[in-house]
Amino acid sequence: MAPSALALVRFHLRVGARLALIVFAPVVAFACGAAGFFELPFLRHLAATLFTGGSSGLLVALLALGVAGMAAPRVCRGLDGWVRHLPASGVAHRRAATLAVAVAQLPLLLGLVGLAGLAVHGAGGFLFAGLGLVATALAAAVATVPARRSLPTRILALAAAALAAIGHGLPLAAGVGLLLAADAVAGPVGHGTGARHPLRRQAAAPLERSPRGARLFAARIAWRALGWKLPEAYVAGLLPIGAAALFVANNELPPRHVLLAALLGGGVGLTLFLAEVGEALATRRPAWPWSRSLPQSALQRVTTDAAFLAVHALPIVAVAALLTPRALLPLAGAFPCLAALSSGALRRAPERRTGAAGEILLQGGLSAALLALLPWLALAFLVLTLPVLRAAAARDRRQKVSRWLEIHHLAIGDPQSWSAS
Amino acid sequence: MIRLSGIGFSYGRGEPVLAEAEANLGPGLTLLVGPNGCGKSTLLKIAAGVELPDRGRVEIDGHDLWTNEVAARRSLAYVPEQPDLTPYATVREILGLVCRLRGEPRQAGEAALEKVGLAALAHRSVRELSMGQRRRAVLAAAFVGRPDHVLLDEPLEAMDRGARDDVLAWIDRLIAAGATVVTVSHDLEPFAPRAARILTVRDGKCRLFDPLPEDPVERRELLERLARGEDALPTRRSAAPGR
Repeated sequence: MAPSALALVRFHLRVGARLALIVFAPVVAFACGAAGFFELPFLRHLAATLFTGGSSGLLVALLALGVAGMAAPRVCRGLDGWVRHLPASGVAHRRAATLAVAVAQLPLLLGLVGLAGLAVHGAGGFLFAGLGLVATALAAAVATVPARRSLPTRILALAAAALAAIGHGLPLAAGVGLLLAADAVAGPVGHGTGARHPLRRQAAAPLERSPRGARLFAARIAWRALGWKLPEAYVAGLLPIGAAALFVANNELPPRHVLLAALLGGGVGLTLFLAEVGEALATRRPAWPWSRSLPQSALQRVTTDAAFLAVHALPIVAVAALLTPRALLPLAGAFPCLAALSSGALRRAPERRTGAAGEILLQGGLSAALLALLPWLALAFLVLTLPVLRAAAARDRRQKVSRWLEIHHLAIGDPQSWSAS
Repeated sequence: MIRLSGIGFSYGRGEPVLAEAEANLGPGLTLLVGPNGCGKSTLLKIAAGVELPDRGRVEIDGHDLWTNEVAARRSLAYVPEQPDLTPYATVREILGLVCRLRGEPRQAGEAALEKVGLAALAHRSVRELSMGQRRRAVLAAAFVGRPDHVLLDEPLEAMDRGARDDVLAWIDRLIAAGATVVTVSHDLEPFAPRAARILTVRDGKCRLFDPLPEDPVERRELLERLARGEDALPTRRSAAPGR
């Protein structure tokens, strides 16, 4: 191996190991802890599904691809920038990054090896399963690291991952062959998505004078910041309502309990939606110091955010009301206040390790429980909306937008940060 | 010598940033000037091997930057305006990588960090650094070894007085050692007396002014006009556009 390639490999191995420790180890530790609650037969069944079932290779490959997909943007951050001027070839850069992404999957691999031990019999079978997992991780890494010839590389690497994950005989050999072919086809490291198109990220139109224009401008910025987080937030918000709908459909309930289920499901759904959107806004659209010099009050800023959140939360309220129309009024009364609370939470997010989501979940969860038990409280929520907005505006004014909060820098304004994605 | 031949580049389907750009940049300081968005930083990225041109070739001391990647980049140091470092590496690891790739001992990296005042932060990951500290980190990387081709994008931006003096003294040492230094800067004052030639980008083409007028006033006037994107004045002494 050339000295430059070796140096890159050593460097990227550290990056991959750090990523594995920071991002994935706690997740896998949590999964192991959760697994501790289950009986051994459950784990055996899970292992059999993953390693001996008909679609076993596909499931393991999908898991590896999911983790590699999360790790690759972080490992490859800046790979098409300054580091390219160093004396190393583009192929060496790509291979080293691929190795780092594979290393970042180690916690998942260890978990899968443990499960393989339950499902596969004999040392030979276990060894092949282990080799298959390593090849799958490498193939998933090849598929996710940007390469000059990305399309054929991805096709070959995806096929390699699915075949290698089967972990025995001919499919494993074919998987390794396809992996080598994918590496040969890939060429040097490519550009990350959109990396070569700074014009796409040009600043939007300047802030217009009218408050309506300012609101539309803020909404445009928020939509851009949210991107695919918005549909994800709707999915999160609709889950509790779906659970409530299943509960109502499968039980003989008096109307009072149907209302309770609808209010609880709707309230929790609203809370989850607001938490998801609020957290994404806090991390991807941090406070903009310069904009505070413009002729717009803090109350206008927080009201704009609250209105944005409330308008987008309307579908959640509407869907919850489908369970029973009687849920519409209490939810409609409460959700402006929840949106205002969330707007305020955005202003404290940089100072808190729990970000905006922690505060929204706490306040929203309590509010949803209270609303379900005492629907008439919706009136109190409605009355409280204005004081809550004023409190949020006071928070907005107190924000130290230019202060260097080192410990939170990883999340705030850094879309590549693990805690920001 | 940095040779750019027939360079064409665009960021999307729109107007090309560079079209058939040609330049031969020899030893000494080449000041790359022009209005915002004319393609200065893009040209520097292409010369640094950060962006692959759509057409044409870049050679560093006769080595093609994209077919002989390692040899061409061996003597290259690039300081970008936006330091895009991987967030999951520590400063010490990045300097260690640069030392190994340039064949320098690890101590060279530590010395460079000491020089830019980042020695105490060497254990921190990039995401824990401010933008100014990240700029210092890439500057430290440029200090490692003896690069013969140094590409600097606004090297004095966000630098305090002491750091500016250090950077300028380093550039002086590079010039004295016969290195090729190309710098993009809107801050003309410190570079005007040091510049051996001026390069500007206009309508996607490079225009090289070499030699420069000896008279400081004429030289300054020429620089100001080119930096504003205007035509060079027909000066009394020749400041003829080169290739």
